[in-house]
Order: sequence, then C-alpha cells, then structure tokens
Amino acid sequence: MLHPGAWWLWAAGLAVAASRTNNPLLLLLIIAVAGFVVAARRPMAPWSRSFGVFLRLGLIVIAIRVVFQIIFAAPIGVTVLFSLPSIALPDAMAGIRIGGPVTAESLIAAVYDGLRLATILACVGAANSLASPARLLKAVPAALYEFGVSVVVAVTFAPQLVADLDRVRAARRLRGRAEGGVRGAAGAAVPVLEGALERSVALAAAMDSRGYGRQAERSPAVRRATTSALLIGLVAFVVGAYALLDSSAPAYLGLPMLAVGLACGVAGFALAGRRSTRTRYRPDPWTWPEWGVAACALITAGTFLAASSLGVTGLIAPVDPLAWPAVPPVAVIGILVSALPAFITPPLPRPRIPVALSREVVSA
Amino acid sequence: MLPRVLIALIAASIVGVAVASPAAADESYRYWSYWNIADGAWVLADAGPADKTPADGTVEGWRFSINGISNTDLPRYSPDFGSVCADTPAQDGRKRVALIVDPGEASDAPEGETPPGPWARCVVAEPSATGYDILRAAATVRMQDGLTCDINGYPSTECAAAVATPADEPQPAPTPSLSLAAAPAPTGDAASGSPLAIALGAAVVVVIAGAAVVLMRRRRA
Repeated sequence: MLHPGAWWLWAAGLAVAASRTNNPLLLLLIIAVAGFVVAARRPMAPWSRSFGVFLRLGLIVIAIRVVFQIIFAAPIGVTVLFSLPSIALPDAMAGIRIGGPVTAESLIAAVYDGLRLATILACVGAANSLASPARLLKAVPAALYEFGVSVVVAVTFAPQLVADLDRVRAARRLRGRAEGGVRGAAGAAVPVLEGALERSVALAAAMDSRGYGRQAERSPAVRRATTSALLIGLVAFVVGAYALLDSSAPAYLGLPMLAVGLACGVAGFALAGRRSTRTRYRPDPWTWPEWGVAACALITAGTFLAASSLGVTGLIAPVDPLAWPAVPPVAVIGILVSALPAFITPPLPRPRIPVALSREVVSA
Repeated sequence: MLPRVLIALIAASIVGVAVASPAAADESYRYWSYWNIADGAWVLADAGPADKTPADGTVEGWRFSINGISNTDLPRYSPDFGSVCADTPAQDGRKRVALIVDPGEASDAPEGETPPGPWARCVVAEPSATGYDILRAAATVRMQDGLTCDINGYPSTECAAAVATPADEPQPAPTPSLSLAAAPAPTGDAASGSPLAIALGAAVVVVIAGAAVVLMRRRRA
C-alpha cells in the first residue's frame, strides 16, 4: 500500500493543472486519467467507492452552474437559443439580471466553468478512493495527534450510528409506532443519541486507561515558539495555496509562500511533536514508488503552471466567438504523466479464495 | 501576552503584504477601452458594453492603448455623428449609432504586430441593442471572461496583457485619416483548433476512460 500522502500529492498536482485551464478536452482527459489510476489501484474497501460519488457531485455542480447562467448572468455572444421572461431590476443592481435571452456562448461558457470545478472535485474524489483515511490519520504529525484521534472516532462511529438507527426503527415498527415523518424521526432520535453518548463515554474511558492524551513537559518558551511557527506556517501555506490555484495572483505569492509556509509548518510540527509522547506502530514507509508519484505530480503541475504563465494557446478555450479549442500537446503529455502512478506503484494483493473452494474449482 | 501580540502582528503583516502588493502595481495593461460621449467630448464608459444601451444619434468609441492606473488615451478622432452617418438614411423603428474604432499607435502594438487603420461605421440596429451588439454588428470580436480581447483580429492572441510601464511617452505619430469604408477583414482565427488535433485528443480520452471502465469491471468480478 502506498503512503496516503503520495496519493494526495498526486491528486493535488492534477487539481492544480485543472485550475489553470477551461479547455473541455484537457479537463475530460484529467478526469479520465484520475479514473484510470483509481480503477487500477483502488483497494477493495467501503471507503474506496467515493470516486463515483464525487463524479456525480461534479455533474450536479455543472447543472447548477448552467441554471445560474440561464437565470442570472448576462448573456455573451450572439447565438440566441431562447428567451426567458425578464424581470427589470433597479439600476443599483446593474450587473445582475433575471431572465432575458439565453445564448449558446454563455451556456457553453457555463459548462466549461462547471466542468473545471467538477474536475477538481474528481481529483479530490480520486484521492479519497486511493488513500485510506485510517492510514492518512496515522500519518498525521504528532502535533495534531489528538485532533486526528477524534476524527478517527467520528469516522469509525458513523456506520454504527446508521446501524443503530435501523435497529431503533425496526423496534418501533414492531411496536406499531410511527416510523416515518416527523414523529418517527423524533421518536428515533433520542435512543440513537443516547446510544452514541454511551458508546463515546465507554470509548473515552478505554482510551484514558490506555494512556491517550498524556503530554510531555515543555517550557513556555518552546510552547510559544511552536504556536508562532505553526500559525505563520499555516497563514503562509494558505496564501501560497490560494495563489497557486488562482491564475491572477502575482507569481512570487505562489511557490515561495508555499515553501515558506511548509518550512515554518514543519519546524512548528517538529517542535510540537516532541510534546506528545506516542510511538507509531508500523508506519507507512516513503520509498521509491512514493517519490515517483510525487515526481509525477510535480511534473503535471509544473507543466501547467509554466504553460499558463507563457500563455500557451489552448489552455483557455474560445467561447466568444465559438470555435473548436486548440489542443496543446505539452499539456496532454503533462496530464498523461499523471497516469504513470498506475504502473509504478505496487499492485494490490489479489483476494485469496478459501482452500476448500479452490480444491473444488480445480477438480471441476 | 506581548509575544502573542507580536505573533499576531507578524501573521497579519504577511497577509497584508500578500493582499496589498497587487494594488501597488507598477505595471500597465494593454487593452481595448470603451468610450461614450458626454457634452460632445469623449468620456470613459462607466459600465461594460453589454450593460449600456446607446441612444439614437450617439457616438461610441473603442481605443486600443497601454494604460496604467488611469486611462487617458482617447480615440484620436472627434465624436461627430453627422460625418460618420451622413450617407446612412434613418430607418423606421431602428436606431443609428456611429461607431469609431481606433486601434492605436504602433508604439502601443504588441510584439510583431502593426495596428490596422482606424475606421468608423454607421450601425443601424434595433432600439434595444447594447454597445456590445453595435460592436458585433460592425466587426468580429473575441471576448474572454467578459473582457473584449480583440476587434477584427487585432491583437491576435493576447487579452488585456500586462506590460512594463513605458519609461517615457513616445512621440505621437501622425494620426492617419479615419476610414469610412467597410471594416477590414480579420487576419484569420488564431485561437481555433484543428479538427485533427481535437479528434486525436478525444480518442486519447476515450481510450483511457475505456481502460478505466474495463479495469473497474475486472476488479469487481
């Protein structure tokens, strides 16, 4: 199994590439490459089906964007498809209009914009499908350990809540009480919440008796240095990440701020981690496949950042007037590089069939 | 207490530098600007061309130039409706708007391009036509994110590009006379892609998506 951070890095590289273009061909290629890697390296676990969920969410996003464009936005272009009855707004809201003519160019521009957002969602979904959330929490630095534990508890308890709800509803049905509607929900809420509270108290007692939450003694100066490094690192990281994804921000805000943020954050985490006295059991290694995946992510993101700053034609598809978009080969190769993780990462083990069954299959 | 205040100040200064720097830009932009008339003189339009509906008998202007914080490069021709629309009779139920398009001087042109000659047209349009419709009736326009990028193919590929502020004002070249003939044809569409490249790209997408679906089916079986 690959280190989960490597998969998130790969998805981040594809998301950065998707944010720099609205060419539908390139965006569809990014989604196809993400789906290919997910299909090749997706483990057989319940959480690994989130790629399909995110794809469907992307379709909803495109639909919402198109509906907003039809109702609210000013039309661009001349090819009027149909007209909605328009409502006149006061001059103070000059930029907004309701209804009016709907042009093909504005619909297609809305589809391109929605597709870009859907592609970024697909990249996040791919990372969710490939990187086990439990192992990702294991890789969380020691400074965020308590936060990570609470997230693990929440993630593990969610299926329990659903099972509880089913059990309570079945009990109510057997007793002839209302099952659906407001009365049913109100009647089921109390037992479910009570069960969840009891379980969480029992878990807290068990964790406390095993020594969770103990902290080593550190001087106030080290604590202050840790907090300041973490805060500055977080702010710089957020600014750098935003500047990287927004193509209109100045260049020095992107990568340099990201580097500054990472450096401060790493220093802060290293300092804070010495407070938490925990050891890791079988940590995920970071070896050659992880470096390869990280290199693929860097190549993809770097290609698109360079192409965007050089103004390569084809990254922005022409909408007004409508024309077929150009296909820059550099961008296509950059995206195809991100398909390499399907080959350079170790394949998942095949599920083993039981010995008795295999004997029957052989003799048949 | 004091170290925490210091930390907050440092964090705020990072954010402040990040946010304030783009505003203090030392660079200029090269773009088409949209002009209306007020009291017989050119004035920068206060809204985009799609939001303004010019009245019958007004003059609209477009000028391509390099502008810093303020935009002072007017179209170089006086806004005279009578001289532009002298030969176009009025039509019942439609309005006449004079359109003057000034692609600017050679010093404003992007690398390797020469500005075409300035031209004017009398556009007869529906009463509800916006400034945008008037421009499109007289020329081919490429827009991107609501910005008018090129008119009749000039400039060929860029869109409101940022340029270094010119060190000093170049000597103004002699103004060419305004052409009232039909607008020059655009020099060809540089942004459209070839169908072959698109077909190849679509084929790659279909192949990879197909491989993903096949792998998904095989893993499930």
